[in-house]
Amino acid sequence: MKCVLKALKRLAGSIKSLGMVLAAAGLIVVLYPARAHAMHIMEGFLPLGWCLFWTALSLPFLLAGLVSMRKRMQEDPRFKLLMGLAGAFAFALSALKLPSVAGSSSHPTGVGLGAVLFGPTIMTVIGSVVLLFQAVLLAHGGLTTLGANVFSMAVAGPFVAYFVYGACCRIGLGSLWGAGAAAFFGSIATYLVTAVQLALAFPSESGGVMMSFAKFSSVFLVAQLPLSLAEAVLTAMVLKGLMGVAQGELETLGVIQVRGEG
Amino acid sequence: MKMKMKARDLGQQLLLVIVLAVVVLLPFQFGDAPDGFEGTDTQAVEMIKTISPDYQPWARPITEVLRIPSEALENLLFTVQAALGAGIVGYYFGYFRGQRPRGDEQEA
Repeated sequence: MKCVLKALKRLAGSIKSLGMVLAAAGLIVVLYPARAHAMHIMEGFLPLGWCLFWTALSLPFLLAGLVSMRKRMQEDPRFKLLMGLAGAFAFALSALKLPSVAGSSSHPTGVGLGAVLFGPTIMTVIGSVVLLFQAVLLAHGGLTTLGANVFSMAVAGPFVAYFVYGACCRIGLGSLWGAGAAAFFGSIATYLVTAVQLALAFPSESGGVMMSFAKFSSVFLVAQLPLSLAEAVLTAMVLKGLMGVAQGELETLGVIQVRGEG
Repeated sequence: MKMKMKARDLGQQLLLVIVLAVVVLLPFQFGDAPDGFEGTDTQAVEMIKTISPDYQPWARPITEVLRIPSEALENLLFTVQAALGAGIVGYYFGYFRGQRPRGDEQEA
């Protein structure tokens, strides 16, 4: 336990020094047009009112997540490790910018795994951290649009994933199919919600919110379908691996019920 | 018995890797990309501009404000992010494996 914490501390230290190097580099270089990639609503592209609205809507979930995170850690210190794994998984997957059909590119979100393991609100916390990192360092998403992006990726996605997993287990699909389906629909839900957010803020003059929603969702959905499938496969793979090495923890969390299932 | 289980697990994981490769690569066998795989957020911004041509973004990315060439550093940063994430995932897997009771251990 202690050595994990120490490793994490050292890691935090190296992230800090990396940030300083980047900041120093930024001070020297002249202005470049910053161009962001892939999903999330970009900085400044949501009117202030909507930014505040989505932030207010996300905050209770974030607080609930912090409380539930604390509770889980007190329950069993080993959960801390699994939580770190779920966070690292989301972190790694959000970096996988993949080209997609229809000539666009985007990336998976990776919040499905954690939602399946710990319930949705803990992923609100972890997803917010990932989004903050991307907004600050990658000009990807944004600080003003953080609330809206948290709501789509770290609230809607995990909640859908969580309930899809529950439903799959109830109809006896098994943990792996369940986790795959959870990740897939969680990812799709994230993009649908993003499309709704943009449509509400930018209703089309001729067709109103519905028309805009159709337009925005067509942008996201086509690109997101293969990515969501990829995310589903990766999530199932990691869960499969976890069943091999951390079966006890998974059983305690209620993720898998009987030995040898899956 | 245990050996058989292991082989099945490995087979399952391999199958998933193959599925993953097909899912990622198959779409490119049909049609090509006129816009060079531009990000969906950029496309969304273009959509906003067609719907509300008068809208002015009221904030700029912080990297732009601080004059960090995030575009030039993007590959590095994405790679760092993926490597860190994957590294930590790997670390935990090793940790869990090492923590298992001794009788549970297999040749691996």
